Amino acid sequence: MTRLVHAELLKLWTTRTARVLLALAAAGTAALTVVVLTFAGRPGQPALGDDALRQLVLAPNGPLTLAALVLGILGMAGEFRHGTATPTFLITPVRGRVVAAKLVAAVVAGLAIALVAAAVVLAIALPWLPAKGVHATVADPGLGARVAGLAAAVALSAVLGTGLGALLRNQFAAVIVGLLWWQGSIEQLLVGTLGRPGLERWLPDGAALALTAPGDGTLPMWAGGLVFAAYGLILALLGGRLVVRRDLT
Amino acid sequence: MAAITVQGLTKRFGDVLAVDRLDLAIDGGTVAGFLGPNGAGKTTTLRMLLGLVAPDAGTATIGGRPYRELPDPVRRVGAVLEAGGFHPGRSARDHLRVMATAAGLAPGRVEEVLEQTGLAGAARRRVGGFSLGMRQRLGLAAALLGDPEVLVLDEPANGLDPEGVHWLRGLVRGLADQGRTVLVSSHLLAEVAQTVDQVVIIDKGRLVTQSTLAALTAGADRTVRVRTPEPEALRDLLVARGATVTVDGPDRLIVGGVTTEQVGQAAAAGGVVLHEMRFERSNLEDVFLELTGGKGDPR
Repeated sequence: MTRLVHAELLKLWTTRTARVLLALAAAGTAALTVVVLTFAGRPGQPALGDDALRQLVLAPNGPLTLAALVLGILGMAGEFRHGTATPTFLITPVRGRVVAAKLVAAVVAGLAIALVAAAVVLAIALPWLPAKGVHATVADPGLGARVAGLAAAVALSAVLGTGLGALLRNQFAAVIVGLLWWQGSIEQLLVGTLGRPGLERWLPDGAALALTAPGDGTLPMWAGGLVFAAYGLILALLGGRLVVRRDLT
Repeated sequence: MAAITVQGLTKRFGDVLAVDRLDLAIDGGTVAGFLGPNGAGKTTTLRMLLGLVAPDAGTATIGGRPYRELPDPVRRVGAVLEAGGFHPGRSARDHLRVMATAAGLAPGRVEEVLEQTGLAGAARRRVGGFSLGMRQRLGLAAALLGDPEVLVLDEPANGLDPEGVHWLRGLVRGLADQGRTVLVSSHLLAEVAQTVDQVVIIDKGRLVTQSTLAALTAGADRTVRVRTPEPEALRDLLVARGATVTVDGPDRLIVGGVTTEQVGQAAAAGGVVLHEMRFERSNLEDVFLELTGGKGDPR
């Protein structure tokens, strides 16, 4: 299993898309952090408080979860798009093992993206915040939980993307559905149709919010993580069944 | 024991019966040509053999086991299938590295197969810029990674220039000389005629014939086409002399295994009138077309 995960990570790393996504995630995080720090406290903008570091770490969660989602989709659906599923399943005819390896690789890649981004935020904000009159330290007791929440949200987004890619197998369709989910359309539609306002925290996006924007109305962080993970795994199980059974012609 | 065995293999895609109760056996250590016109069911058969397509009925085994149950399939079987299977953005070397990693093979094998397939110079280039011929070479490199004893090649000569085809023949012959079993498919008999020991011909999903190349051509080289108003009488005369006779229309016969002189003598002895007689030195391609119905019937 280790060698399959290693192979999946190598697959991600040896395509330009994955490297570009990682670079974009790092650069986008840096830009966002700089913009927030530059404009904070100016007229019309809220000033930074003592929780500034915690907020800054979570600020880029949107683009990062999207990058991870797309990476997960490409990792799975790309195999069908480019026909690499054939050599992949010739090497590993027990296809379920490939799907499992992809899920593990998605988690690893997601964690890597989140941790790189968190490091970028800290590298920029720690030296900058004192100049803004804010006391900032990595010893901030709430900071670890925020970084963990971000890492979990990004990693589980990659899992969700992998499941989506397995279920739809069409890369383009999976990216479109992923985008609609990510910007909230699907869930708004669901909540609107069902007329149950309390529902959204149990939906994938709402569950992810418990990790990236914990507060009133969200589930506890651990519960949100579990619910979000469950969605990803259910998609992966359903999609994985299709991948295992489908003829590769 | 046969290296590759197929028994009662059947696959239907919607209305199309792609493979129909196919039986065949390929002996270990031989090069077998797997022939048939486009749409005959060759690729579907090979994909079932490799566990990529699930048969509706029947079995396909390699060394007595279905591909999906082989413990270390890459070291037992190497395959080149049609239609690429490469990520365009990945370099040739990276493609092979990914495969070697997943299969748990030594990284050094990647350089060896790149060298063996003449791709060492292009190893760092992205596959998206490869010609069809280079992709075929990369497919072969991937198939050879695990140093397998059985090779399954689906139309490996497609897209190769004449030099490439020559190279491919040498490669396949070399692999066979090392005692490996090679099953190579093609829609052109001439393409594999110089390389194969035995041929399996299928059409419309069914086995047409399985024989050695020598047996196939022996019957083919001597055919006499005859036109006569008394086909039944002539047929009986010729059959009595050991010829194989096929009725080819109301006044036509195709006679195998005889010369024109022998047909003429038989006709004179029996008092049968001949209107036309033609000796046909049919080549392999004619045999092939005749066996598979000739029209190609693209599907």
